[in-house]
Amino acid sequence: MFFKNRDEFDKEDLGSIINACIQKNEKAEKKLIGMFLSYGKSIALRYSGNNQEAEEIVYDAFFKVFQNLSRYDTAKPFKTWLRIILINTALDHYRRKHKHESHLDIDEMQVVDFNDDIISKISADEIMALIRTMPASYRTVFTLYAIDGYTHKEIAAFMGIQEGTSKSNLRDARNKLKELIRIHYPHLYLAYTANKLRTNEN
Amino acid sequence: MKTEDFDKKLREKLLELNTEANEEEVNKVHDFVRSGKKKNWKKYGLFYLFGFLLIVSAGTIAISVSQWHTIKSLAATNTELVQQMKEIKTSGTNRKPRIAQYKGTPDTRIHDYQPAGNAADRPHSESGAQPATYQKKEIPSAAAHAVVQNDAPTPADENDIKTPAAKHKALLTGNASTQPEASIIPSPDDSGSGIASAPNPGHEGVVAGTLPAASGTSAISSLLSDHTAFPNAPAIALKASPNNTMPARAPSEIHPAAPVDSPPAHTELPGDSSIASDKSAPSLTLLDEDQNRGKSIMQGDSGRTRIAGGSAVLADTSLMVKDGRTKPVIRSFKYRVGLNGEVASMQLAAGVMGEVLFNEHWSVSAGFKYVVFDHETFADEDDYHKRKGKDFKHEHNGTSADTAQISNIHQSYRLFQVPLSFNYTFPLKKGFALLFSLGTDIDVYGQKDVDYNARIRNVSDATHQNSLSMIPVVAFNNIVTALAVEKQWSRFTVQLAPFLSPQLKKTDYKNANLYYGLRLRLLYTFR
Repeated sequence: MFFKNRDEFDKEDLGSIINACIQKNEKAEKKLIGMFLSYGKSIALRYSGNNQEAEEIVYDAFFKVFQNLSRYDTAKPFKTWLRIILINTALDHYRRKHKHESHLDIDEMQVVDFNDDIISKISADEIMALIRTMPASYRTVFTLYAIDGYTHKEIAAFMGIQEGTSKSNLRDARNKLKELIRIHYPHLYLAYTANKLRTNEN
Repeated sequence: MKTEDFDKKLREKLLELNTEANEEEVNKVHDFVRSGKKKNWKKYGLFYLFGFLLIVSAGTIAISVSQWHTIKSLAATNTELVQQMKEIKTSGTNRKPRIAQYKGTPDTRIHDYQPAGNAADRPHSESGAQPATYQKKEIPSAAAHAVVQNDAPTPADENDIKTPAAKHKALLTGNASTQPEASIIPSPDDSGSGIASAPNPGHEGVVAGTLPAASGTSAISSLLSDHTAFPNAPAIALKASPNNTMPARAPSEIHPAAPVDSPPAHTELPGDSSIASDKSAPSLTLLDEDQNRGKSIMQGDSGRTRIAGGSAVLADTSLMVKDGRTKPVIRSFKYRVGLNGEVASMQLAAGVMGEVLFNEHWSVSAGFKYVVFDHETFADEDDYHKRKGKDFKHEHNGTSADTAQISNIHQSYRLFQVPLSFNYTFPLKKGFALLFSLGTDIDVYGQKDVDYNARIRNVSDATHQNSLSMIPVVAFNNIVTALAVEKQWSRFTVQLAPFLSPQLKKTDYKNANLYYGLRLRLLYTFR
């Protein structure tokens, strides 16, 4: 009554939750994790080759979030800050595990006449599964550029590669993804390619 | 454009991805976040444990190599000693006796003591019933001078020696200036004759020393008697056991001189060659004899050992030589105390410290340090909230009115720390040394000092306010590694060390990952 209970926080107010987390309030920590775990998983899945790796990225990212929560600039959206941490953590994992992996099937890839409308006929989970079958370097460059909107210069700096390598990896990643769709969804590919060809003829 | 469409459609598709998290997953992540700190500690702990073990191993190897060299050199010395003892043994029959030649001069410093009475009344023992009365006597000859030499005798030396009574050859070795270390070695011909003087009227006096049991007390008496017979010769009286019976010992044994009840003796040789022997002076004691060969080793009790045989070997008091074995003596610890000053990124420190040196290389230091951190400035309370995530007024409860506008906040911390470190010193030449140290600063007590301006609304002037409050500290939060250059002048030591201090756990007052700086220590050594 006379003293303010420090364990209390406004569950609807993100600032209040974050302040409570800084005070090591467990309920607030769980609340914050619950609010952003789904978002974190969606990002981690794009950068990981399997669920286990995605889980590791999410865990490590949230650990960093709570370690550095006192440094969070409340003027910026928390989601953006979390996204940056997640991507950095994913890149750490890439450097640790995949940087020196080699992939030798680049030359065998063929650029097919691909109709982008096929993508709308495939579910998100299936698209994600295809992306995760790609080599880590392709997947990472493709995700950073096509999904998260980083430039080749930034990607080169993140991954410790040349800008040209980033561009070629992106191109190869696109081709690889199209190839995978053609292999795994031949009926869709044929249908949409035939439609496209007919449209072009008309 | 085509590729952009492809990317756009993929992006839209991926946004549809359903990745809802359930309560169980949230708990798992939360548990990881909570236990992750422990995992982090383990990681750091293992890293530093490994580093510490590496330093200890390297230091141990370095010490072992150093000791191996010492032992090797001691073994070589020991071999040399044994070899010399063998030479002494073999030369006992073949080698010419070593001679200390005394040539009297009319130097006024040369005195001879001549008993006043006859030979029978002459005292030879301090405890004897008959008092001794000596008279100083000038040596009349102009040829008197002393030669005390270590070298093997030359034929000329032998010719100079006159032993009228028993025709003894005698030898007095040792530098005259190191009188307690003089050895007296008789010739093989001395066997059975005991101590003999060579009271040559030409002032050549030689005394030698095997005291066989057969001669009994007559050895010293005969010496004195002979001396009486040649009053112009200088006399050297030697201490001997009352019955002149010397225990037979193996020639290779060298022992510190044992106290012997013996009459006082006083001998003066010309010039600097005087040998004075009294109660206070180190006594000369016959320790080793080989009656058949007429050879003995004499040793002073000053802690130094001289071995007859041509060369001298000095044995330090820290080394005992016995039965061909060497035993280095364990040294006691040394202590150093002094002042400690540090300049690091955004911090200044000063304090006192002490150090225990276990040996030449390893030491442990501890102390007490006062540290001032001066690194946080905020424009106003909004800036404070943005950067610290805390409400300024809530943090500093009661220091200002709720309606006050806070600005120009300057925050500093004061800490009391106990620095602890393990050090490995690598000695260099000319008093310089390199010192590697690994340790930590244990935070004991902390204070936060906050300066700010507070302005009550509708009041134009801001008032400067200050708040000093105690803060909770984390005792163990960092590791300190340093590489110091050390210079020693006598008991004073100066250490200059750049240091690195990675932060294992960030705190409010130490929120950087790494601190680095320069440390200066002035130390005084106690032994």
